[in-house]
Amino acid sequence: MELGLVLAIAGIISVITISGIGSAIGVGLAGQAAAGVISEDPEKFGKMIPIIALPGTQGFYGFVMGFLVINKLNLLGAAKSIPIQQGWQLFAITFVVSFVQCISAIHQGKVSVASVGMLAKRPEEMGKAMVLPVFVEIYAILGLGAFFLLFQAIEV
Amino acid sequence: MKERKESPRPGSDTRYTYAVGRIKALEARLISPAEMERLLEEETLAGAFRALGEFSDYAETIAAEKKGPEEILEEQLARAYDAVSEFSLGSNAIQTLRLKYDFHNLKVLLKARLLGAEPDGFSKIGFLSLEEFNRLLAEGTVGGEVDRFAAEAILTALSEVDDGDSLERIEVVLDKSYYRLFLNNLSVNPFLEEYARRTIDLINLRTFWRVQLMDWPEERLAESLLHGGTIQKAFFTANVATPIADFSPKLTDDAYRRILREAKNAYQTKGDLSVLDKLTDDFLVEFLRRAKYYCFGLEPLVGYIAAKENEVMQLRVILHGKEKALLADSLREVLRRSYA
Repeated sequence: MELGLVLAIAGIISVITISGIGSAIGVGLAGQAAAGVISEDPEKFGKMIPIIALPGTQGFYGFVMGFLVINKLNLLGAAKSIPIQQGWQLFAITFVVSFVQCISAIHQGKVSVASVGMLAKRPEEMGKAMVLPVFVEIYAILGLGAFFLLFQAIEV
Repeated sequence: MKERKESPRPGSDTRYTYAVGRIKALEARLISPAEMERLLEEETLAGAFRALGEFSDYAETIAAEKKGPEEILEEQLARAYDAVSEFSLGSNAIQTLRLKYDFHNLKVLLKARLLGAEPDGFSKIGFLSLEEFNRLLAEGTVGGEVDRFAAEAILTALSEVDDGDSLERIEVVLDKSYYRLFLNNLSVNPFLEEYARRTIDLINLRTFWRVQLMDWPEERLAESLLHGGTIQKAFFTANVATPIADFSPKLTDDAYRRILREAKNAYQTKGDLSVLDKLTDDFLVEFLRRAKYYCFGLEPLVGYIAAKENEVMQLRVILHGKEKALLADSLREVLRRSYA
């Protein structure tokens, strides 16, 4: 296999894995806090679900980015041969963006824990509890946006 | 019990995330200042009981059986400790908070033994039951299914008590033994360590003032002071003859100066020394209220225990006050600041 293709595949694996790790940590934190609240007050289960799910979006974005690169290289069919330069470009954008996703997911998980605590005391403040972790989401979306722009610019 | 390594950064230990979630839900059930005010406004004990029964955490206990106020309050506190112990992953810091009741019980039993009387005031909140305590005192070794953490602490404290010790001496030795453990086990991060050191400071301040009022000799003060506060013991002993009005400005901490100033004023005008206890309790509650804003770590757990202790203390004042038909205003004066 050519080095260009190897680099691109390494990028795909890194963006899916690293983003997924971040989301797993973030969802894990929010889930634990929510489980604590639900064990005392099961009626709050419904309100907790979107809060727990929010840090999971980065893992999903990572998968979308990886899938776009797979599609671009036609890896599920007859894989395209790409020069080393393009291979490095694809690796760079996927690898760097994966860290934005990972770190934002962990921090979003922490903010979600705070929101879970807020909902435990003030269930009527669901809107505010949702908005706070969404602020962190903005940076995951910006990372995804930057990936799209750069991805379009890479000719394969 | 196996030693656990706690995170040195306050509010950062993610191992307690589930526990903090439960604590946030439990905190929502604490009696609010408005509900406390409603209890105060009730004319009779029966009325206060009826109102208390409407609050979620107490409704079940009150409805289940006909129990006296003290039994209900003790049961509530024991439940809070049980709940927090269940999800605190065996933290020594949390266990140490409950251990104070075992030390109280040990004092009760040793005093009863010394006076040849029946034990009076044995608390059910501690780890050891009366039977377990008696067995431990008789055998002097940890055995059976008794809680090892508590039993070992009790035996260590007992080894420091001499046969011929007076009641006062027993009290001092056991307090020193407990607060040494308290400081050691709560010093898992700077926040809890500061809480432990300030608790010791405030106990020492109370001792200092009482020793002055009773005109005890300097040696007795030195013997009674606890080790480990932010204020050195030598500072107290060096100022044993300094009147409280002149001693207070010498303290570097603004909060301690304010507490002593207000307590001194209250003592001069009303002759009431209990104001110092109220102010020191309020200070510690205010300090721990910061734990409410931590989303991770042991701090919210310690904060909840303090909140429940505070709630039970307030209810005790109100219910016993209603029993004696005291006026709401006089009860309001002695009520501690609410954590909720």
